[in-house]
Amino acid sequence: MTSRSLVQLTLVVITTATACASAGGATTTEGRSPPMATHTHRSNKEIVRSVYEDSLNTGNWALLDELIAPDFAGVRGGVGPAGFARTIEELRAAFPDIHYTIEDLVAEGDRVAIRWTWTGTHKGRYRGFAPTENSVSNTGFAIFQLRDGKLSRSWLETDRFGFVHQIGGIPQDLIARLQPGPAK
Amino acid sequence: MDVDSVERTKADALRFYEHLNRALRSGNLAELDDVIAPDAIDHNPAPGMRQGLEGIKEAFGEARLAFPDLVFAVEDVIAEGEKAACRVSTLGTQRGAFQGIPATGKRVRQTGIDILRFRGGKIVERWGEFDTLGFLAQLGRVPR
Repeated sequence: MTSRSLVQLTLVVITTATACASAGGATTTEGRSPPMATHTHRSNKEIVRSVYEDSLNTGNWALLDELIAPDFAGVRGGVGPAGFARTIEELRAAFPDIHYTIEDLVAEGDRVAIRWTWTGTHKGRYRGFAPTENSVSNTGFAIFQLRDGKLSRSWLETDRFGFVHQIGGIPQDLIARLQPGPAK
Repeated sequence: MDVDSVERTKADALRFYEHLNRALRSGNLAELDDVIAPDAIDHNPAPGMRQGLEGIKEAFGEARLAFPDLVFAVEDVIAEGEKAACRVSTLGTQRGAFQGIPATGKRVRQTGIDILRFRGGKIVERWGEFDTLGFLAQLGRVPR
């Protein structure tokens, strides 16, 4: 492993949130509120769908005010709609043609799980990684908790390893070993 | 909304992780025969993993050799129809080589989200993502 890749990986492991703002920690079980009486499962799904299709895919950040709760806590300390937008803006600056496709939505009570993929071209510097012009795709899963029709909390898992690999940041021996396919 | 199917699917998901933990603890991977269909498809397989029940059993068998105390904790389940979205975490101590990484003796926690589709109480499809990069960082293979 070269010292350069070490430095780049350090940056990425510390800071990469390749999808969207997400609650820090993301693993505790406290704080779950009872299912909302005023929002049906369908409407919670539609709210989450709207975040991706009407805001993230179009760059319409103003819409996030209607979709993200003021106290939503993002991974990098950002709070509320502005904090949510900041993480996405950074991604969109590096991947200007970024496009999310919603692959699946599962909803129950006040929570919605989403499976998405995004594709985009690496045209700008991202977390210390110089542009590669690579076509990048990323898969991710998120669980959102909604309150009063807005996203209030989230848990996120994205293929950070695959993402960093695609923009040139993972040492070759690890790539060879961890590629899906026959065991090396 | 079919409340019965939600509760059934949620119970199927919890039963799967119970059987998985029993299989990991005892080494009796046949525990998984009751909760995974023979031709189950994993859309996000682990490196080198074969498809179907037997491939999944092999993969967990290997994981168990490297992490003998490996255990899954279910943090949340969101069920709708045949699908359950599960927020889980794993905890285990690396006592053997894993994916070419020699034993480190380190206790590693990994978070993940699985979406499982059930038929007749058995998993027929799985999609999921675990924090591989964070996992490797804890094992000292990539810097934090």
